[in-house]
Amino acid sequence: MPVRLSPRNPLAVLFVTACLIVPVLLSTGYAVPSAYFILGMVNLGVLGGIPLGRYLKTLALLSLVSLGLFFLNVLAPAEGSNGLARGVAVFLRSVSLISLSIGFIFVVDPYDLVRALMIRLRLSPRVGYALFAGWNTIPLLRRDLGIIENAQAFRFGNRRRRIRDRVFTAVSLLIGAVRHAERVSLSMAARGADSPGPRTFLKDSPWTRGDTLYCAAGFLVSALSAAYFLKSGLFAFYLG
Amino acid sequence: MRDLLRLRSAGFRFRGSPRAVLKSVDLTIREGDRILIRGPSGSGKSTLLLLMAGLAPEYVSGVLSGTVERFYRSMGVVLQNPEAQVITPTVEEEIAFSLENDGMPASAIRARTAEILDRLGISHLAKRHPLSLSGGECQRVSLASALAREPEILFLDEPTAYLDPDSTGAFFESLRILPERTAVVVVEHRIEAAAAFCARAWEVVPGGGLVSSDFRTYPLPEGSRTDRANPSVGIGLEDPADLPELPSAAVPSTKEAAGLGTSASDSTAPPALEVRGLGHSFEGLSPLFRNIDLTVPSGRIAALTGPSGCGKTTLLAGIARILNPGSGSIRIAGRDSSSMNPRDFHSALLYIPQNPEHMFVAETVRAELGLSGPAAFESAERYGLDGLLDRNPYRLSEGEKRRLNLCIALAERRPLYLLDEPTYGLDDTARSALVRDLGALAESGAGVLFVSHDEEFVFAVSDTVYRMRDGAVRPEESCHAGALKSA
Repeated sequence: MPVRLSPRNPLAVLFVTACLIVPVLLSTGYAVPSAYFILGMVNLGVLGGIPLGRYLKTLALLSLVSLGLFFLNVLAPAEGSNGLARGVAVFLRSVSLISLSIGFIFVVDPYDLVRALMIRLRLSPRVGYALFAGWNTIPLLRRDLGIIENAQAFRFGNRRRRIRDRVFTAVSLLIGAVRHAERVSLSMAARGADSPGPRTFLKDSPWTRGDTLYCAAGFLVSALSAAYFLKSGLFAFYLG
Repeated sequence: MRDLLRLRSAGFRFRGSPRAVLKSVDLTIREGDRILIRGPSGSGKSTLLLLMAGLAPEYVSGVLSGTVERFYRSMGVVLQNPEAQVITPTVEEEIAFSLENDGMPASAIRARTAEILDRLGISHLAKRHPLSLSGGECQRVSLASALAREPEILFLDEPTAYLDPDSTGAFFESLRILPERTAVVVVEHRIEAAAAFCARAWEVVPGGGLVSSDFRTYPLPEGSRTDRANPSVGIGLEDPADLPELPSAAVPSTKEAAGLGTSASDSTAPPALEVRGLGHSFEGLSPLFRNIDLTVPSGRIAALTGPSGCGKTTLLAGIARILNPGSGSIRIAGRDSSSMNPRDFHSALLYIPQNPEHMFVAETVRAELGLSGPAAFESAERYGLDGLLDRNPYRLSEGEKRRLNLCIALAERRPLYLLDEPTYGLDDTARSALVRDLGALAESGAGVLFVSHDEEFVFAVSDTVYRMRDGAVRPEESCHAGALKSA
């Protein structure tokens, strides 16, 4: 799990990432996804601190989905369309979206993002801290899944397990997650999470002038790039 | 001293349940009271605590009868599972959480948090993720979090359930920093630990009533080894050979699987478990333990104890191949576990995890027991589960779930049993039954290795105690076994 990697406010990073993602979502050509892929990399460079090896490994892994989409278009093209051209465009678009999304995930600590949403955008603390607790639960669930599978395998020994018994592994995990959520909820309530008064925060999520400049720069670069591609006819909304 | 809480003919029934878990409870708690609530597992102690803390029926749906008057302005609650109380990513935020909810300014929160961390001696943990801490450390964080609000009354629900004796002592010692006026209500099975701190005791009795009680403890039955010579004492059978047999094609009898002769203490038989040079380290961290040597002869019981977080559960999980065992070798009943295929391996031992729910695969207690045969029903009768056969296993109390696990385990016949904290959540009666049943299990030829913080249980049942500390284990003969030898 990444520690706090970027000095920028998570909401600023979210805004700039959204600015970069929107043109890619609207475009189906070659140029725009490629350009915004590069802009996304530049953005990550500006933010700094990304664990490059893990990022590239994750990107490569998830890009297999893009490769699948490419082959789907090439091998089963839509009627009247150039399958190869469409496949390349879909591949580029998909890789670009994946790289921008996971880039955001890698540079922003999820706790910082939720804290920023609570402090800056008035997300209900009850919801915010439930998200904290949910995030905490992920490694516990992973651990529990291993234990449940093994405990049940030991229980049945070399007797054949019915499919229904195997399904119960998931049920056990789900019930465990629900119970955990109930206990966390109780713990939150016991500590006054539902207090009616105004709430304060030990850790602030400051919005600095640097964040404003970063957002303005991100928006301008994205908008100007989109305008350039529109003007030059490279911004294809959909392939013919 | 003013009243903080008054219950008059209070009762509580969970939604959907036909019977009330608490009935006609009368109790007054004043400033400075230090009260122990004791009682059999599943009797409703935790529910009573939630009722007093104002969390039931507000957050635990059910029907309240009688009156509960709360006069306290602030309270703190520590629940039994420290993991389930973690909300935030750092210890300092965890402690600050309740103060933030109260709207305290950040600077004051910072000062109060630092003070509490210092008073509990855990300042060095401030920036750590609570889930990266040991059980003992995590529970102290929970206590710190409850104390941060400077509560008038503190509710503790089996706060030492996951702690070793040292951590338990340290936990109750931590409570000494409380102002005299602060009232404390402790639900606890470890009576001795709580007795040094509490002044009054109440007991929730079967049927849901609350009666005045004392700090008397009920010692575990002496002489598990003696009982093992006569296993009928424990398991209600004339001869250990009468232990229920699974179909021979499915699972060999314990002794056959272990390569044993007729005697559980046959010195020529291979040990049920032989661990040599075992090591383990989590990714990026220094080794948790290394070069562990450990032997559990067939027909013997070994305990693994040590401070919270020292790696006992990890070692057990390594032996059971739930975690990558790392370096070293593990032999079960003479066979190298790494050369066994998964099915053989899974039928060579039985692992009972810390969380009893992890073994459940059915919707009723009856169906769970049915999967393990008639012997499981016999055990259920002795463990007092025969009246709960149509209940959903997940709806049982923690102690009842643990007892159901044991019924299932005792009905299976394996050369080796691995148990993780088998007495957690058990009351005195169920613990006594377990002492006898593990003895009978060993007498039938099985080797048993269990992890436990329950020192009394460890000495009552085990032949060898392995102490784990600083990444190494040191065997010592159990006081009990030593005493028997001397005799």
